[in-house]
Amino acid sequence: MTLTPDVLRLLVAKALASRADEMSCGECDARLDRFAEMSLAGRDAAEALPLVEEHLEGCPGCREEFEALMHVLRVAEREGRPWWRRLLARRA
Amino acid sequence: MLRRRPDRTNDEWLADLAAEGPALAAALRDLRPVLLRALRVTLAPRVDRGADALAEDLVQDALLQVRERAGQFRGDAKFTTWAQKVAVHLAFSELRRKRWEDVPLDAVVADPPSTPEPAADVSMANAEAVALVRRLIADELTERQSTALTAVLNGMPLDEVARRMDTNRNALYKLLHDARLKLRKAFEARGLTPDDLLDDGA
Repeated sequence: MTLTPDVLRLLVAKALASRADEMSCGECDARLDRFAEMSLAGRDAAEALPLVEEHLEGCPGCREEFEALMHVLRVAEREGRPWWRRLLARRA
Repeated sequence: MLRRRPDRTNDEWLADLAAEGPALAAALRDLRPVLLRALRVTLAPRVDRGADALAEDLVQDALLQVRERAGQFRGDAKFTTWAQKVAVHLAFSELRRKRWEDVPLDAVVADPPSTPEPAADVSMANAEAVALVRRLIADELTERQSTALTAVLNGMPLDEVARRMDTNRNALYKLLHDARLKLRKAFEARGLTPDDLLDDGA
């Protein structure tokens, strides 16, 4: 098994940042919809759900899904507006 | 036919999806375009061709998963947000499965990383640090933990590593978490600080 210095560097950095009370992917996923809605509403989701925020900082897979969900919700919000609001938004 | 009701309350969604007959059919009919859009929006930037067709392929699975897992909905967000989260996860699972389907675990564990994940701009402090960490990994971690850690750090998604190791994502995360904590403890037991192990280039 090859553990190059680059891989070791990542491992050491992650190990040093590890805490006993970390959230798992499943636990983060269970709260992601609430976290996303709070973020979309401009509220401090990281303060309300700090363990979710920490997990997203350290887990690229969950981070990727969260960002995709945010994009989906923004598109849904835009498409849910009345046609005249969408027109005004395009002209602005 | 029941009228369209895309703005059901959370309780109404849950009740209709738990029902049978016309109420269930109406709920699925109203939820389908929501999930289809979520799938299309997620897939479009990540698939060279055929994102719409793939979304159509996946939407039935998404509806089934939403119905089966409705009991897991915590109720602290809109039901449709939760349902769209299920669809997004399904899309990523499929993308990752396709991207990695021809890559065995051995290949990822044996080869150096081609695209290491972005991290702080640091390297290992010196050759001694590299040798020490390798020794600690051999002493402190199980073979399974070493394999899983290396695969993930080399870019293989957790779901794909879990599949190849006959486990699930959550169990794998816990295995990796335990490994990281063991290493942290080993560093601390030897009085090693980040400065001893990592070079920040200053």
